[in-house]
Amino acid sequence: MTTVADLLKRPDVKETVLKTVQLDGQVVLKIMQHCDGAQPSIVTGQLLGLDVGQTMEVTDCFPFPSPEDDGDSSTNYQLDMMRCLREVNVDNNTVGWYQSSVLGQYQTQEMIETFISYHDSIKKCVCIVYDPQRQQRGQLGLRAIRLKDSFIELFKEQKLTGKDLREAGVGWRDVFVEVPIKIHNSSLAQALIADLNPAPGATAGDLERLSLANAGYLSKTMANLIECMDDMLAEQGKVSMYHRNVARQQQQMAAWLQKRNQENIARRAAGEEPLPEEDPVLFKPIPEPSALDQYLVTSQIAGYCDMLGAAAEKGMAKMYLVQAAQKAAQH
Amino acid sequence: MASRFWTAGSDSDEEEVDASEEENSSSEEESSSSSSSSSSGSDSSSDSDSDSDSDSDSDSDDSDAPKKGAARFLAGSDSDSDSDEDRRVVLKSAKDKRFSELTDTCDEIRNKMKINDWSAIQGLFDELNKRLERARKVSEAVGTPRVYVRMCVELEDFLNDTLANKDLKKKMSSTNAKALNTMRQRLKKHNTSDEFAEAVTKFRENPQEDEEEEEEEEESSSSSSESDTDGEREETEKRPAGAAKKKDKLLTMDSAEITYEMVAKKLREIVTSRGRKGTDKQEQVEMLQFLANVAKGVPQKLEVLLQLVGSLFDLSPGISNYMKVGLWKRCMLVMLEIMDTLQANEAIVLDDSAEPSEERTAEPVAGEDGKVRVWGNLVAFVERLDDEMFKSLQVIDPHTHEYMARLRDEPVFLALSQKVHDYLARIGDVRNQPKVALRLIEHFYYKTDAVYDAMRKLTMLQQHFYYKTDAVYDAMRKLTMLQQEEAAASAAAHPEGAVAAASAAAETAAAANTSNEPGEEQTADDKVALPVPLDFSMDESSTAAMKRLVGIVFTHGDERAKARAMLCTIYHKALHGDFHSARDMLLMSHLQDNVMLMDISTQILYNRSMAQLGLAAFRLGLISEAHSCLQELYGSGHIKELLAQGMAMGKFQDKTPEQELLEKRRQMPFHMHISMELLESSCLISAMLLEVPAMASSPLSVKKRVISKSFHRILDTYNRQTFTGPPETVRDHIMAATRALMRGDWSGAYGAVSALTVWQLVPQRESVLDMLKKQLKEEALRTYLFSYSAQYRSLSLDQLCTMFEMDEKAVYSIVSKMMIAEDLHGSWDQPTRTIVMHSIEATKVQSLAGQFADKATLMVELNERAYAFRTGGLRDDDDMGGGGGGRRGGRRGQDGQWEDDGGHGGRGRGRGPRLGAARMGLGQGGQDFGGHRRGGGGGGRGDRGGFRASGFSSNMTSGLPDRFQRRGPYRQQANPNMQALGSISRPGGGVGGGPGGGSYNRPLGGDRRDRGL
Repeated sequence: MTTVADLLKRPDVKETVLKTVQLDGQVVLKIMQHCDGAQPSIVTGQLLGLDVGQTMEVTDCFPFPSPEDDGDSSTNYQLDMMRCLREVNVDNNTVGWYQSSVLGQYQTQEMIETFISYHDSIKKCVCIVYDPQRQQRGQLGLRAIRLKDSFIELFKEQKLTGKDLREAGVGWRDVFVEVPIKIHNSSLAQALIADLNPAPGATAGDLERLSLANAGYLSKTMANLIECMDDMLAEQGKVSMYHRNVARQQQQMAAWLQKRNQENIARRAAGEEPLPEEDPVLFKPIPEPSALDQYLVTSQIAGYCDMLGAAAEKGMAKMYLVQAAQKAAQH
Repeated sequence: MASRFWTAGSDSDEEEVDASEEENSSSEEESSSSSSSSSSGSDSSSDSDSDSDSDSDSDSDDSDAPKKGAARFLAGSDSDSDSDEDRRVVLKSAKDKRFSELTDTCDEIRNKMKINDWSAIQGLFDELNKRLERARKVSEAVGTPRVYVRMCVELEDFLNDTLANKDLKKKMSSTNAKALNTMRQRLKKHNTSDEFAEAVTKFRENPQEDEEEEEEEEESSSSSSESDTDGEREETEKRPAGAAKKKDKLLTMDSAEITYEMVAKKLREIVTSRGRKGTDKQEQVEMLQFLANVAKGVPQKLEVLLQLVGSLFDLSPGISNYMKVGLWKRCMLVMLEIMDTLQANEAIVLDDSAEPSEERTAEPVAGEDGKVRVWGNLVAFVERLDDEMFKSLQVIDPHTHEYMARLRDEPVFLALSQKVHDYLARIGDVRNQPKVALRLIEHFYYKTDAVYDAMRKLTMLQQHFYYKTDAVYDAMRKLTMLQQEEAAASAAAHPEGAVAAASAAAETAAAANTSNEPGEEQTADDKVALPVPLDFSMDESSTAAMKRLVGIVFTHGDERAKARAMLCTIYHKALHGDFHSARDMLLMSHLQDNVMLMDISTQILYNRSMAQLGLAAFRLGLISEAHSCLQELYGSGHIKELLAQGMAMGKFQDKTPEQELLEKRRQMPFHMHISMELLESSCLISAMLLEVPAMASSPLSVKKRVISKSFHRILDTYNRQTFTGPPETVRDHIMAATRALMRGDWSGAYGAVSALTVWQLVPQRESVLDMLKKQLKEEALRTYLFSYSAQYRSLSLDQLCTMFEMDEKAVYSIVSKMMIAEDLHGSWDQPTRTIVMHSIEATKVQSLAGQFADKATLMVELNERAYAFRTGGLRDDDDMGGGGGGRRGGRRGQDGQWEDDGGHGGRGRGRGPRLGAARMGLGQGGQDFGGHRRGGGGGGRGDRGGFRASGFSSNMTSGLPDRFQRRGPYRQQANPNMQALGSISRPGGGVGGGPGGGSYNRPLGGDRRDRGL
């Protein structure tokens, strides 16, 4: 058990890598309640807690007012809320935020920007993404997301072209990192649960998990996937356009250089001063398109693929199960 | 590939330039060669008056004329150097310049005299003297120019007048008075010097004559008066008014007295004066004609005649206007005479490289090889005549009798060309022979059999009419008997035939008329009787004629001639229904690759051949071929310009007048037109037959595979109409047919299509309509099955047979084909003779997965391209060979079916074969699949695809294999991916998917009913 004294002894505490995110039971419930209630719109809220070594302890949270509500108060709301919470002696240390997502869509530019803005004050901030649809299908739709440090550095320097990223060795997998979540309840709560006897044999969640109807989910994901592919194609178009432009410019440059060379030869023959062979004004380097969007789309696609894979896997398993059950029923 | 020449900047007609160059060079030679003739005049200015009437003197003058060095070259040219219509550059000789300077100065002095400005006169007089010196140096003439003498005399008179007038003298300013005094002294000295005294006194004695001659000088600028006959003759030519009173001596002379020399001299004279401003061309022509009659010896006669042709050409004004028909006919007559002469005298050789007519005093003797060489260029004349005829046909309103009459001149021209051609063959001139052959070809290639026969008949008729030869008449009669009905029917049925046949008919009538009234007057200029030479006979069939002539061009012709001859042959073959060999010729010659680089008239010819090829394919029922040939011409929206059959009203771009003029000069004469309506209907019907089943097969994704964009556009507008009345235009008819066909109602479609009036223009009307009926039934059946098979559990074969009035076998074959291609999800149940449908709707997820596979493939393809781009060494169009090529190809439309719709088409094509290849690669253990890819794709596309791939889109097919080879490393990477995709996709994706390659949603187990989604 680390104590505050231990923490103070170690100045490099900030450098430690975040290994787990520990969510309090009430935090999970609060997030779920908020997000489920606000469906299908996307909502966000603040996470409060403590950064303890390799663990991020999230002990409380509060929702942000949805943007449809009056916008004026929303900025003050956060501060007021923090103050109030401090007054009631709750952890008022911001450690990140949570947000709901639709079918696992979260890899956006805004997300990264939010991360970066949080990063300035909180080095180890996390984002809890909650997927209500996933929850409905009987799975805990929570994931804790961070940005990789190497990527953050690059982003801050705005070195996001394909070349930069390649040189830094940052692949699309190196943008977001998922941190394992641990759910923690106070001993009292655990005692209470243990006291509640006996735990029911099957919960509603179990029932949901057995549902065979996943066509809607699959097709929805598929549709999203196709959308992503479109985005990807657009990105690809940008890149190839860039390549073509560069090639064309190089051609022009070569032609220009040749012309200039000949001109210079002629001038030298005529005893004149040769013209400079470098002309920085004429050919401005074409800016390389940012690779960030590609990365985001790719990771989004990867996310969808994982989801599809998982769903298909489970579907198969369920099919076998049902088959077996039917056989058993026949006998 | 259409050649969009109108975007090209400049377009000078090559032939035109050629011809004018030819003319130019010849005229230069002429002028230099003949300069000697007029030089005779320049030597004797002072003594010309005294012996102006002696004949003998002139000859002696002539004989020493060539000694006169430079002067003989200078005398020939003219001071007023306006370039005439032949674009001939008239060089102003140094001498003329001097003289004009002299004259100018004199005029100026006269002006000053009027205002009494003596100081100015003094200055000018000095200048005048200086100029005189210079002029003398250049001309080396002994005498004093008359202009000068006259000036001196005038000055003297004026001076005396002024001195006599005391008042005037008083009024003068001091400087002026001083100048007057100086002038008086100088003039006195000047005029009394022995150099000028004689001239001045002579002038004073006979000022009248002087003046006359002076005028002449001013007009013609030849340095001084010609002596005796020459001078007089020149006058007759140069002063048309005076011609009447001063009869040329030659004209009045007894022809027996005229010597060879006289004629030669005269001829040279005419040649020299040709193209000058003051020359009366008409006069020249008359003179030449007279000379031709009196010419001594055949070679000289030829020379005169050749010159006469040239002069006749001079009579026609400018290149923008066409030569008057009468003039043209006269030219023809002269040309025919030349040819007759040449035929009769085999020893004479016309040669444009032979030395031009040098100074000859006697009849030329035969050279070592027993041949007499005469300068002349028959080919240029023939080409010019052809051009003029073409131009006149362009301009004359095709709906008038004038046009018919003009067309009737064609046989004569053909006869002439044939003669020239034979002549060239005889003397073995292989350089020029193809030129004439090509001209002939271009008169033959567009003629259908009927028209050709009509033309033959017309030829014989004309021969009969003019020569009253019974043999010919009989032959003609027989021919008429044989062909009358057929020719009349079919010729009338054909657009080009109509005109020619009608002209033949008109000629028959005219012949009949004239034989009834022989006294009918034909004296007018336009009505020069132009008989077809008796020894001319056209080949039995146009095919034979073409074959003969094309052979010559292919053996000896240059590139352009070969290309044109090839195109003409293609056109001709297509016209005669020989589509396959025409197509093979087109593809083997690779004309479509470099037609863009050719001159515009060749491009037009190419477009015409393409159109005719399409029509031939259509007549034969090769719908997709017809569509790929015509679609681009028609789809461009510029078909009129592409075929040079009329000017499109430029909605968007304004043409400059020059452009418009150029375009006007490119236009095809009416009788060569290809019927636009026929083209439109053929193109649209082909599109309809291809497009309707395709639309029915994928009703929800119409945009997916657009075969013919223009068809879709028309269909869309048609569908948007609030009220659709009974069909009127071609489009209306075809759209009505399309509607019917979409319902599977073949009889309605046939009704609408057969109601088109254009079928009257098709020679084999019945067979074409039968073909159309058959095609419509087949496509209706396919469409019906596509659209409504989902509604059936089973379909009886007999019912289908009755519905579409097709026999069992045909239905069976079509349905089976559809099953194999997986267009129809069903199977035969033989005992009950029914089709049992297995239609199962694909689930949402399945279709989505299909779509996804589609996108993924596209991405893989793009990645490959990007990769290839990065690895470099990739030709640009190879890179574009995939989607880019498709897109570009789509715009050009040359690739027909599967590239029409730009991006999608390109994608589709890329996709189909590639997935197929991936499968193959899987089968081969992932080794090199470049080759298989082609095999798979090509094989699947089959006959049609092969045609298109090999020909109309040659750039992409050729680029493919090595492109794949070069991609070695990446392919390995891509392979797993491809296999994955391949397994999603239907087995053999592209192979069976047909040209459209719509293979995306085949997959996922046994559920095949994807089209209905």
